Amino acid sequence: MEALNIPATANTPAVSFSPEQSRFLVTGSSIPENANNFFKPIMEWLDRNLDALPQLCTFEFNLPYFNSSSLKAIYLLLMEIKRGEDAGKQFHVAWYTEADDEFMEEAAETFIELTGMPIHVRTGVPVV
Amino acid sequence: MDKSLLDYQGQLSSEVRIQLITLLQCIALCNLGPRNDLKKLVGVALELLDNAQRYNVGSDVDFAWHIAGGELVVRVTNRAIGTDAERLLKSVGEIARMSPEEITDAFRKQLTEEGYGEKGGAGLGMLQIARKVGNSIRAYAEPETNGTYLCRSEVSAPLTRQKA
Repeated sequence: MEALNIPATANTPAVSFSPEQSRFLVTGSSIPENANNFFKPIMEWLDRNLDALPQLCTFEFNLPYFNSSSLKAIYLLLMEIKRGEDAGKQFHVAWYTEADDEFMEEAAETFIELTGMPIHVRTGVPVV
Repeated sequence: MDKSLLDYQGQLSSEVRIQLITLLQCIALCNLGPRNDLKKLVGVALELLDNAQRYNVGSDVDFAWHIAGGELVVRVTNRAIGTDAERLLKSVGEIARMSPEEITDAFRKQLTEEGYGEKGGAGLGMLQIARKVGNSIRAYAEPETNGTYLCRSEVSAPLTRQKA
């Protein structure tokens, strides 16, 4: 199982996968000029490792800010996770929001509706 | 009361764009107070600045963030090649004729079915703005002598709602 560890920058989030914790974590603002360039290697990692991911693996997203280019990239990432679920995997997807934050709450609603996946919306930040 | 919250004229690099967004968050919190839609209001500026950076072919851009008549007015001016200027006008013109339901449908279609453009855009920015703060986007493009177009995008977002 390949580890994944992309550190955060001023305009891109930290992205990591811990095999020990079976935990995929995206945390930080995502406002790159070209989100496709940033997320493409992550999509490729997920594509290569989807079959090997353990049951009950968690995917946690904490993105305080993101542009619409990133919105599309995150949607594609979620659809890849759904592909794993459709193939029989049981994953847990969590979307973190700040309290009373319409921006993050509406994004979660959009993703739940468009992916058809149960995405658990939590207030606060993931434990790192 | 009308206010000029921020005016910027200069180069728009990724670093400047990031710093402007951070500054806008601070300015918004100080001048508009705590609001549930604070990030959405800053998000409008983020989308317009993204577009300006992606398509700008000139040196400087103009960015203005004002309160006027009870609305937050965001205005960005940059230079673009003809095809990008035409696409901006076409996109904003189409959105202007859409109902809220049609905007939502167009947004979903663009998000789920279309790919990225050659300059990295997802074609979602203006639709996202229209969904978030209402269909009050205006765009102008004036041809210049060197073959480029002076493009201006402007959004007025109502400031009626306040955090409970």
